[in-house]
Parts: sequence; C-alpha cells; structure tokens
Amino acid sequence: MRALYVDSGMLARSFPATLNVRTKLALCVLSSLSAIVLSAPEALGVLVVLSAAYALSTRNLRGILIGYLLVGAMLGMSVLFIVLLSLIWPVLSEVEMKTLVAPFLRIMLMLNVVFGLALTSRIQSVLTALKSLRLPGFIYIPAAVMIRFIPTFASDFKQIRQALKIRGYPVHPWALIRHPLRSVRVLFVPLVFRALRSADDLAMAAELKAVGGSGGFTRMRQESFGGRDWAVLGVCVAAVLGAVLLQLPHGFGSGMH
Amino acid sequence: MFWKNWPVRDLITVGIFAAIIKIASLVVAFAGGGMNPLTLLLKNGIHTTLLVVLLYKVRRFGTLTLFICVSAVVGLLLMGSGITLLPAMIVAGLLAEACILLWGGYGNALALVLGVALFDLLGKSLSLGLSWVMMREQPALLITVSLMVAVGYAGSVMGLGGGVLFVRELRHAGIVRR
Repeated sequence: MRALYVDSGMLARSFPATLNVRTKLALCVLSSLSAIVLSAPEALGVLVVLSAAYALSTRNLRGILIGYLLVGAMLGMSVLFIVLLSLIWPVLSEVEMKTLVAPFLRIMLMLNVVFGLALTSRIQSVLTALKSLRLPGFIYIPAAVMIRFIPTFASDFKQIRQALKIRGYPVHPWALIRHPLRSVRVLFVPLVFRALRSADDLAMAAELKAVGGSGGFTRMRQESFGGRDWAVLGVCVAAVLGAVLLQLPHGFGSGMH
Repeated sequence: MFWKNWPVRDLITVGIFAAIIKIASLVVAFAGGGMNPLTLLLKNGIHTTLLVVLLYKVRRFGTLTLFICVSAVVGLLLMGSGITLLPAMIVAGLLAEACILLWGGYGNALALVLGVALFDLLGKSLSLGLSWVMMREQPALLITVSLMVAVGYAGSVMGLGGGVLFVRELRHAGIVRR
C-alpha cells in the first residue's frame, strides 16, 4: 500500500505531526461539537482563525488553498441556485441567504482540523487511538479505514485525472456540470474500481498484521501524551469557551443542524 | 454477538464504501452547489448506486446498519455532521435489512435493490419527520425542504438502476463474484 503523506518530507516535520493522534482526534470532536452548537458568525469566526493557523502549520499551503477555493466555489454555486429558486419561491431567499455565513464557517472549521489529522497521522496511530476510546472492533476498524482512505483517494483521483487528460477529456467542475453522465462514466467508475482494489489490498495487509485479532499487540512506536498535547488541548478548550461566550447573546436554539 | 464473526475484509469494505460515499457526495456538492437540483439528483444517485454495490459485495445482515454507524462516528469526528439523525437512520437501516431478509435474503438481487430503495425512503421520511419537529414554526421552509428531498429521492431511484449496471461491470472485472 502507498505510504501516508506523513512520511513525505516536509509534512513529517510539521507541527501537527508532533502531536499525539488522540489530541488531533480530540480537536476534531471539539470542533464538531462547536459546529453543531454554535451559529453566531463571530463565535465560529474565532475558531476558524485558530483552526486555520493549525492547518497552515502542516505546511501544505497549496492543498489548503485548493480546499478553501472548493468550499468557496460550492457556496457560490449554492447562492446562485438559491437566487434562481427564489424567483419561483420567494420565501427561500428570505430564509437561506442570511443563514449562509454560518454553514460556510462550519465547513472551514472542519476542513482545517481534518487537514491536521488526515495529512499528518499514521494509520496505525489512528487505529490505536480509536481502540483506546473503547470503541468495538466492528466500528473502529471501518472508521480507521475511512480516515486512512482519504489520502489514497486523493492519489487515485490524481492518477485518473492524469489518464483522462492524456486521453483528451477535460476534468474541471464546468465539464462535470455540462456532461454529468460522461463524468460519472470516465471519472467515478474508475475511482470505484480502484477503491475496491484498495479494499482488497488493505484487507490482505490487515489480515497479515492480525488486525481484528483478539491477542495483545506490541507496538513499534510508543505514542506518548506530552506537555505539547496538554498545551494544545488547553488552548483549544479556552477558545471554545470564548466562542461559547460570544454565542451567549444570540442563544443556542438555532445552532442545531 | 454476531458482529464478532464479521471478517476484517468485510469491515474494511464497509469503511472504504463509507469513505467513497462521503467523498463523492462532497465532490458533487463542490462541483454543483448544495441547492442545485441536478446536484441533488446526482448525489443521491451515486449514494444508492454505491449502496447497491456495497450490499452485493458484503452480503450480510447488518451491513447497512454498520455502514450508518461508521458514517455517523466518522461524521461526528471529522465533519460535525448531525448526530441527531442517527437514531432515525439506524431504525431505517434495521427495517430495510429485515425487509431484505423477508423478501428472499441477501442472495436475492431484487431484494437487495428494493432494500436500498426502502432504506433511502425510510431514512428521508424519518429525517423529514425530525425536521418537522425542529421547524414546525416555519412550514414554508419545510415544504421547500420536502421538495428538495423529493428531487433527491428521484435521483436515488435512478441510482438503483445504476447500481445494477455497476455490479454487472464489476462482475466482468472479477471484483464482484456472486
């Protein structure tokens, strides 16, 4: 199997790579809960700024910028279609347009923390961390595979895109919209084929490593929970408390989604 | 507990499919925007297509429910997605799987396709019911959401056919053997 991105050069020396995986998972959970509870733009904004600093510390500026551009483009398209739909259904423009900022900030927040976890964590560390949460094997194995699959999927997508370029197929959002069926055929089908092959490879690797076995494991790397992890968690909890204080004047009723 | 008898191979396949469905939905939403009817059709179509393929690949009672649980855990960890819908989705998954067993079991291709159709219908209906509880003060918004969900379900039904075609291709490639 291909190595995770953490093994490649600069990312391995980045700040999130030095943190314990449990710290990175805790950041994701805290951000998820904040995204569920908070709805005021200023409250979410504070967390987005801090999480952006965390994401930038992975030193993958290009990937982060592409992610931001994609989120911006998605929301731009949503606004366009809301405007079109509001011509038929005027009540939609009253309700949706003013509530678009909070979802955008929520997506940015989650994007930032996911970058920190997915691009700087080894699959074995994620597995160990999920196991230490006392999750049953039938939940933590697929969950770890799901997280592990993100870089593999990105790599598969890159290879298929290059193959399509060589054959003369345009691969950009406009082409996807103009020819949705062709896009499904030339892009989505090969992606699923490759994903199923990856599933077979991963299954073989898991069986060889006795993943899912009942015996105890001797870990090659002992992951310690150090002062840096406590400091990051402390900053994160303080930021969430600050965001909750900013949310208080707005109330918590409309935050659920 | 019967979950313990699941081979790691099947658990990994469920995880991979949960990832593909999540990422494919995100990619389609990125390309076309969330409120675009075409995007809704395509997103739901891809969702049911992949669910049909998953059930063909992992023919066990509990596959749908496990898929829902894993997606919910990772959704909460990574994406902050609504955990409030989880109980409704688990109920939909269990009911659909019970119906698959009643309609001939996991060896029956038609039962699998109908099971996915029922799961999607139940999931969407229960979610709409929950939305009604949350937004009963704004019925206009709920009507709009219901229309969007109806468009999405049309895409899901189209995806069922796509799933069958997909499985046929996978059989040619030797990836799905039954």
